[in-house]
Amino acid sequence: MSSTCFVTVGSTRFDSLTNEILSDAALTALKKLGVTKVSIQLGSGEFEAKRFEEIFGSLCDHDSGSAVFAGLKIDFYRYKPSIAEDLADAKFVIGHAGAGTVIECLRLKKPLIVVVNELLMDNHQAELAAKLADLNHVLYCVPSDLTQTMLDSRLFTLQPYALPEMAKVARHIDRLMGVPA
Amino acid sequence: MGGAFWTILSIILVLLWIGVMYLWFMIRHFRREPLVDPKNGLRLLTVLGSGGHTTEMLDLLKHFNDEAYSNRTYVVADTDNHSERKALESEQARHSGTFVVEKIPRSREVGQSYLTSVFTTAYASLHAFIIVSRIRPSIVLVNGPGTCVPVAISAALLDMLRVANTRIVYVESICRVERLSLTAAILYYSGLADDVIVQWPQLKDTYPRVRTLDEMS
Repeated sequence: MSSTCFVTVGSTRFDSLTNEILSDAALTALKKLGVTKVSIQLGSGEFEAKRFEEIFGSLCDHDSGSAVFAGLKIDFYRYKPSIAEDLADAKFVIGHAGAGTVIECLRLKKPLIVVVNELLMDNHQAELAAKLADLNHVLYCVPSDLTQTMLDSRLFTLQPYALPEMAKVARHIDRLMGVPA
Repeated sequence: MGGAFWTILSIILVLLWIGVMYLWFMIRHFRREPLVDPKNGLRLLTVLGSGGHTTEMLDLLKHFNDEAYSNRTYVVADTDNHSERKALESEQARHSGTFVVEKIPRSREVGQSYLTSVFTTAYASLHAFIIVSRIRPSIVLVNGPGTCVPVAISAALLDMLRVANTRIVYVESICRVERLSLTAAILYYSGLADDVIVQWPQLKDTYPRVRTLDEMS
């Protein structure tokens, strides 16, 4: 059983999330969950300078890094061509509301906490996360509630979600077009 | 006086003609008459675009038979190298038929003023029209990037003019839970789409003519 928590923000930045995960409260919660390693896909964001130095020391390179802090292995990078492996290796995933990440986690049946960025108004992707949270397929919170949400006992009892079968749509279109079955 | 009379009369006639073409289009598409002889293969035209549209569209197209849909066109915005690469990758898994990637200018860049975007939209629409009239697709399959609006409208126009026989199908993103996207709503309310397919069944309460996956066998 993996003991990695993977944090992903997608193609832009989500500093309130990536800073929150490095807070003392969040790191304590992660250890309580049996996590031994936190891996963060940072995007174009920056960590809060003081905390960054506490954890990673005077690391010059701000594009990737690794440290052991408070009994946890913590590493970060900005981007990878594919995060599929990180998702597959994780015990659970903390991610932004991007549909790609959400759907990939559902496909892999990974426990997922979707953190919504309150600063992005009218974010229609949050609609999907909210619905999936209603149906108990993911957990859903704002950055400041992350610690509390990680300790929510439902995280590891979420219901698997049967993704819509695109093959059905294709057969429907075949019939519309007169393609023989 | 005489000039005004003939001008008004011709405007009325043109409007009438457009109305009749539109009605005839709606009736023909409502009856879902068999389209073409599938033995010759169908011409599929799709529009790819960033923000998850490309991923979702290629996920769907994986389930399309490459012999039945033997002539495939991928329309992408000219700045969207990512979608073009994804289209090429997906085509490598296919064994028959031909495909082409067509580029059209973006109708509006983020932050562009509305005044200049009128012109760039017109320019992009003209490009879309030229591509669609050249391909005369049997099916236009779209899922939402902005460029798909002029593509779908061009296809509908050419079908109304009886230059092409085209079905227009819109597949809504899984992200749309409560409301259709603007693009989907345009195609839904105008009746230009033969089908608007949605992934969340409760959308049918608001939009009774959409198709849900539950209705498909």
